[in-house]
Amino acid sequence: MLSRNLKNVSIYHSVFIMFVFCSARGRASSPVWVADTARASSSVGHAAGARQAVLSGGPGPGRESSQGCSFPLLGMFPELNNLLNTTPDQAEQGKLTLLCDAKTDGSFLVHHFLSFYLKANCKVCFVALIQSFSHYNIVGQKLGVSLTTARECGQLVFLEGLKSAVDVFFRPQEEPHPLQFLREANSGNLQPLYEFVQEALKPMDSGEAAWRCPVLLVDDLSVLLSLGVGAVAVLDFIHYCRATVCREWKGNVVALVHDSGDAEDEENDILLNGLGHQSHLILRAEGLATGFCKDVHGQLRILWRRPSEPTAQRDRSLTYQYKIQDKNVSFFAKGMSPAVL
Amino acid sequence: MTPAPPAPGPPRPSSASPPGAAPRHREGEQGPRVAGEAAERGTERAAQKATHDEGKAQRNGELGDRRGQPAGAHMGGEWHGRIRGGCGPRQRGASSLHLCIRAQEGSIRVSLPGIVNLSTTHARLRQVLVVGEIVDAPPLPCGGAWQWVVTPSEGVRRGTRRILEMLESLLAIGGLVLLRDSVEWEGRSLLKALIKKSALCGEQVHILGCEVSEEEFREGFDSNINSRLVYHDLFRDPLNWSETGETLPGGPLEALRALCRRTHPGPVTIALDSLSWLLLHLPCTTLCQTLHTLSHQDSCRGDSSPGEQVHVLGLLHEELHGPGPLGVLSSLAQTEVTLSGALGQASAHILYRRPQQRPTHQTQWFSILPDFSLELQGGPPLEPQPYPDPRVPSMDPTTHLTFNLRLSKKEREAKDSLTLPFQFSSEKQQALLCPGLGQATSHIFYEPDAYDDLDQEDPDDDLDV
Repeated sequence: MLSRNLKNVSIYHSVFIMFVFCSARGRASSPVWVADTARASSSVGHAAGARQAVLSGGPGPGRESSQGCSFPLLGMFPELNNLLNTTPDQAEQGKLTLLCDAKTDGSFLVHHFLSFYLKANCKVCFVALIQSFSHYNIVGQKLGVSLTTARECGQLVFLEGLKSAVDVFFRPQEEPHPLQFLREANSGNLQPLYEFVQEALKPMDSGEAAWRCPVLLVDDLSVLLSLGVGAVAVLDFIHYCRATVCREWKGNVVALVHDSGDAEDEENDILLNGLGHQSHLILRAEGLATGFCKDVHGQLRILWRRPSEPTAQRDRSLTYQYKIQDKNVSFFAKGMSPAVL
Repeated sequence: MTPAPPAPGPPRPSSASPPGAAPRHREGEQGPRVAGEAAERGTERAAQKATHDEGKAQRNGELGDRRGQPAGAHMGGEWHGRIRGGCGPRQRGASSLHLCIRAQEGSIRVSLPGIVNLSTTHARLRQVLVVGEIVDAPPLPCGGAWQWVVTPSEGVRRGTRRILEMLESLLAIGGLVLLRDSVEWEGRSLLKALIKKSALCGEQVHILGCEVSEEEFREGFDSNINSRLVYHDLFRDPLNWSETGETLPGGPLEALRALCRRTHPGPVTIALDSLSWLLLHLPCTTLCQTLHTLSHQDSCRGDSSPGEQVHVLGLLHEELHGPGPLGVLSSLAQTEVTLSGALGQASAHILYRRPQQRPTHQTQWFSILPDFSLELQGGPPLEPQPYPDPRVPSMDPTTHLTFNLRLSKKEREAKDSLTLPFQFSSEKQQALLCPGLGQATSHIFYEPDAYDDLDQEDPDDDLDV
């Protein structure tokens, strides 16, 4: 009798393991999550729950333990979510988030928001002017999202600036191209780019909404200044995106701007401050004032403008230091890095 | 002396305020701030009475007209008081002034009908009005009625009146009110608080909105305020990219000029949200000229009374512009508010430029409540006091030492009586000035031998000459 019970138990486990394999669709697996599956599957029976429970395992030295929520934690930086008080299923809508970096590289914030919104089941239009698609794909895979899959099923609309910039010169001029401003001698406006975004994020008239809300992600806006577009034109572009995406369609806009810091770049300052006045949340990644450090890569300042509940005693500004690891970013209060404590 | 009952007793300049001199605020009085009305009645009375005659005791008889009424009687919201200046009733140069005082919420309007000698009046009035300070002193016309607005001094105001003071003082002068904010301290909530105040005063408010949508701007206002706001939308499609034909032809400049041409009579407030957007999209000179026509609209109308002013509220983000445009807009403005803050508390540094007066500064700490009313604060919240660590009791560190830190009495006396070598005391001064008998000055005895070649110009013999 005991042997029969054992046989049943082993079949039980193997069926669930196979079930999870099918639904995980080729995600990177590690032996840890097998054990998690057995534990979690007893409570959550269906495929989605099993898949999510799978992903809650995994390494990460600075990461908090699984909070037991039914949403996958791997795939974005959970500590940053805690700092911002958001989860993918409760993402605020109609907001403009400004990411800026000074003396350091703030692109980890872009990867965070990309994976965050893909996980939150939003339709994302990503205007990527800096890196190629494969770069974002590789980093996204480390964080648990597959950009190729998202692009194929229509969740992600990707404008690869590096490739399509060349196309501008080799196609007939009548067809408007999003990066049409590269052909114009004087600094034109970004209306073709806006129309591209509008076309990409337009809500489908097919009845039920497939995606939660439209999101525009731009990486980054300072390169447009280098390409000859004026600061006012870029501000107008973001103004129109805000009017359409944030206001009309209740979506979000996230944009990265580099801060020139000591270098006197007036156009960049106008762009940065102008966007700062329009935005609801400003995340500013700065290098340490004392220079490069092995254990602390920089500090992140979070500034909430226009808080939604004015009566809540919310800290309007927070500062944290961070360290970027392979698959995660760990945040800690100033001076409390685990390396120095 | 005519025993005029309303005479305020022994005339003392300092207390020569009208009897019952505490400014009687009519709490419920919500009359429109039309200063012309009181002025007209003043001139009427001046015509009825004898002209102002300095030093004449006949003045005492003037109030015989009103003998039936007690002094300080409110006659439809005004009272006529007689003030006797100078030291005695019949002294030369004593003048008595006829005042029409109309008390309104928060201020007293004083009109002096038919005064000929202006400087004396000014001086006398300053003696009278010791409980307040004269805030607004327009140039005095010769003869006729004119008005002073007196606000009670800081010591008199208490409680809720201070809340109104800041917003009212910002709106008092008229013309352009410039709100300069920054990314960290935003000014739109103060702009909305001013709009709410204007709307509650019964003015119609036109808003040229470029940066936020209409729903977002109207959020937080209740319906009766919202009904007074006219929102001109430049947010949705300012540059006509969608080509639906909804936007105003001519763009933002045309929208701004349309505000200049409005023909609605009555006081109006125009809010520009924001001036920065307009500055980035219009040339600076055009914008300044349009702003000037906008804020000085009443000068083209012939008989405008000061009550019907145009208030133009402009929100400016000061980091976006260079010193040139900022300086130009600042010189156009009659009131300039710069927002900053410390420790989570917002403050406003206000610069008033009243006509024909020196600019005055004021700094106020405030916070805006969710319904866009203003609350004044005392100052930034203090840093939390570092509390003494309760674990470690204070103990005397000089106990249990291996060396001696204490002095005996003899040692202490010796120490006190010691004179330090480099301390310049009077004894030392005397010793230096008068060399004592026992002291020998030092001499050097030198006998040169044969090989010495004493050269006065080269005593050390080391020059290469």
